[in-house]
Amino acid sequence: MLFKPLFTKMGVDTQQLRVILEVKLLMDDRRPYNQMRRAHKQKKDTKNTSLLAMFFLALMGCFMIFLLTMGNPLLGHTLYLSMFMIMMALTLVSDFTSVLIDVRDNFIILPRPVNDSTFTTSRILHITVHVFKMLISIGLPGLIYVVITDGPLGGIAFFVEIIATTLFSIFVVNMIYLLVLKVSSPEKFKNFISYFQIFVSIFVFAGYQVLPRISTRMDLHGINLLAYKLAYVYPPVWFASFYDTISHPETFAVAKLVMGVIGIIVPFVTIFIVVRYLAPGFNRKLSAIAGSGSEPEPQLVTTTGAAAVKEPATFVSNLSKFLCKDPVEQAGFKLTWWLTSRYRDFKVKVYPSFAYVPVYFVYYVFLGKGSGRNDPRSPEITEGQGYLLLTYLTSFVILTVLSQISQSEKYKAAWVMFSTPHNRPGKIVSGMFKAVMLKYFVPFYLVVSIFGLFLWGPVIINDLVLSFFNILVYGVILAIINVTYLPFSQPAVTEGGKTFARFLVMFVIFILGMAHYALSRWEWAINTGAVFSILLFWVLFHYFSKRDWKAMEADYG
Amino acid sequence: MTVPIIQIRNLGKSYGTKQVLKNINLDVSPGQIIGYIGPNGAGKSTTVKILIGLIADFEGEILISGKPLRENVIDIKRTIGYVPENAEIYEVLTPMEYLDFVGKLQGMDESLIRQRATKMLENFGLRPNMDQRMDTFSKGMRQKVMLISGIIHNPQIIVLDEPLSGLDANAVIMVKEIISRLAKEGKTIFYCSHMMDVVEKVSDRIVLINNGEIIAHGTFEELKQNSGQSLESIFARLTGKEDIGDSAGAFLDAFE
Repeated sequence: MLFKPLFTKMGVDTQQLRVILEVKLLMDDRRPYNQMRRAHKQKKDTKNTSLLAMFFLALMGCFMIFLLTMGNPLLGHTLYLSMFMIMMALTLVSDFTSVLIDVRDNFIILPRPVNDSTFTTSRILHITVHVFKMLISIGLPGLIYVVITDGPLGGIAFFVEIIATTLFSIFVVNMIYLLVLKVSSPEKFKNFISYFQIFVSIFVFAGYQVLPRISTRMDLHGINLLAYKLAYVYPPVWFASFYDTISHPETFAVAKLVMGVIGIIVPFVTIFIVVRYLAPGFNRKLSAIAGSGSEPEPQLVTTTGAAAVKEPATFVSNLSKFLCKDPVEQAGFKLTWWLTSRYRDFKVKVYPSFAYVPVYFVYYVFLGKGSGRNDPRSPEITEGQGYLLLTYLTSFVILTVLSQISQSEKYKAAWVMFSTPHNRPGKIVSGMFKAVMLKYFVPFYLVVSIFGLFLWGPVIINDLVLSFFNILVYGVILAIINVTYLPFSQPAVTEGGKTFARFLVMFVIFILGMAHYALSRWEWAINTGAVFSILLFWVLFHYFSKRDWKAMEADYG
Repeated sequence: MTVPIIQIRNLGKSYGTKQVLKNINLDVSPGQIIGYIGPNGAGKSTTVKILIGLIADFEGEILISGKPLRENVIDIKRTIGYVPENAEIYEVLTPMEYLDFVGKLQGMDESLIRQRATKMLENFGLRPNMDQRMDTFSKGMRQKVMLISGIIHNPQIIVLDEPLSGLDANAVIMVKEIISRLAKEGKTIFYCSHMMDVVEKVSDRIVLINNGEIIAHGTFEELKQNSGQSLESIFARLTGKEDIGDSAGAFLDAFE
């Protein structure tokens, strides 16, 4: 222990500190890693999670080298550092609560004879180790690149600039936390964190897809950042100026020197503000998240007599009555509708995929081969069949929703669907199917359709109808083959087995899409196809809702 | 009567304007088992949290072995063992790793921890699971590990919050026996529970609180003289729910 004398002076029990840190880091290593949840085998104990996480961050870091090469060094580094800062801030926000603020500490560590400074120091060191791991893994590829191209001096300057960026990111994250805690309750805060995780996934995904494309297509060499006034107040520019001034003295400018100096001073000032002024209140607020504040008083709704007997006519229950005749089906519908909005783990897994559709679309249509496609209204696009790609991409929404719908952390609660004497599990799943289609697919498809109509005009209306039902047909087939469990009745596990069936189903949407594409030059064929598709959907759905227990792998427990 | 090991004087606690504890006074002698009961939300767990030093901000005074709790929290925590109600545990650790962690925070020597933990786990029948991660454990198995973690440092005062939850009948008998033997050795036990029949049998003295106040206090015999037959009926009478029979009837009326 390097700082032992210092810690002892602060009243920290170094022995306890070491034990706490060891255990915390060990636990970090065993926590299943978000991005890897699909790949990791169920029964095998997870190990080395942090190494894995570092590996993924390093991959991202490799991608980011692209940014460094863009335009002149000042611009390249500004872009790189912006990305770095965003990555850092996003990861920190989502990790802070889960990794660093552990509610169980209140019951496990605090009743033990551990003094406050030991406990606080252990948290600070834990955060430091965490941040340092991220810093190393994201920054290392860039560092190697810079050392190779600009030599050791550049390497040192680069190192300083990423440290400055990291400190600044911590400041930003702190500000975000304080702001959110100020305007919302601790309970909402947890929701906020899960939305943040959704945002992170989307961001990382879009980054992987779009960045390399943009960098090869745009000519950035001519851009001089210093010509833009706004650039002077953008922190990454300061940090990049520092680097530029040191490793490329031939392009010296006073403005850069000044900004470089600011860039070195500001992070230390902000981190001082964090430690001195923000951290104390911050800790108190965070312990409120964990503590008694998280037990909201149940709202007392006093409905008595006749009012209590009648079911309140809510939007969802009306909808379920409108769409489902069978009471069991209505129950499945409402259960799915409510739980999908209330289970955080479902939202975190499913919502990011909604963003994949626009990202892929932009990727294929606008950034496709050839140039001159930057204008979305160019004839090349409006006369093509790009809308088909767009509409069929929405099937992705169905794929993710249906593959997650039977899983839940609280899967044991599903016993109630097994113990009740209804004999039509098909009714529950058909209610579920209607609910997810109406809740996720239909609105999504509507937005996409409006966008499509805006670009391509009303001629595509019949195409929209056909592809809508084609996708629904695909959805039912997917549900018949893959959704063999009741909603929310299975623990989150790997999707093993049935790989072949899964592949075949993927093929279905491909065939449907291709058929549509082949027919698309005859309007009458599209119209006939649409009618046929509606019929097919109706028949398949009917079959789907008739399933009995045998068709379900309905083992409970 | 010997010198009390726990002395609670005019203890009060409020969250905002809501007063959770009002003027609690209690003396506990070494070797006693105190059954601490009360309806949900009566202030039981708040008392416990204050007693074990988790909540520092309270009114009144608490003396443990004659030393004021506020000024000696760390020293006093060394002599207290706590088994919380909701089995919060680092389930990605193995029992051995967890107990090693807890023991070291208590300032114990590694070999002593190992020796004690092995023995205790063995007697709870967890020897084969000693090096398995606890995320696959049943509730009873976790509860056993929690119990061991609460007493591994051989504390003078043991605070138990529903210690029997999830345990099977054999383990229940064993834990009850452990509790009474610990008391015979002079350990003080603070036993919180909703299971009246257990409290009735285990406790030397029973403290009943309601709305943050002690409303009854004495041995089971004493309480019986004043109030009723079983602890259950005493509890019902004192917490103002004598008409439970009527409520049950009204409940069943829903079928009509």
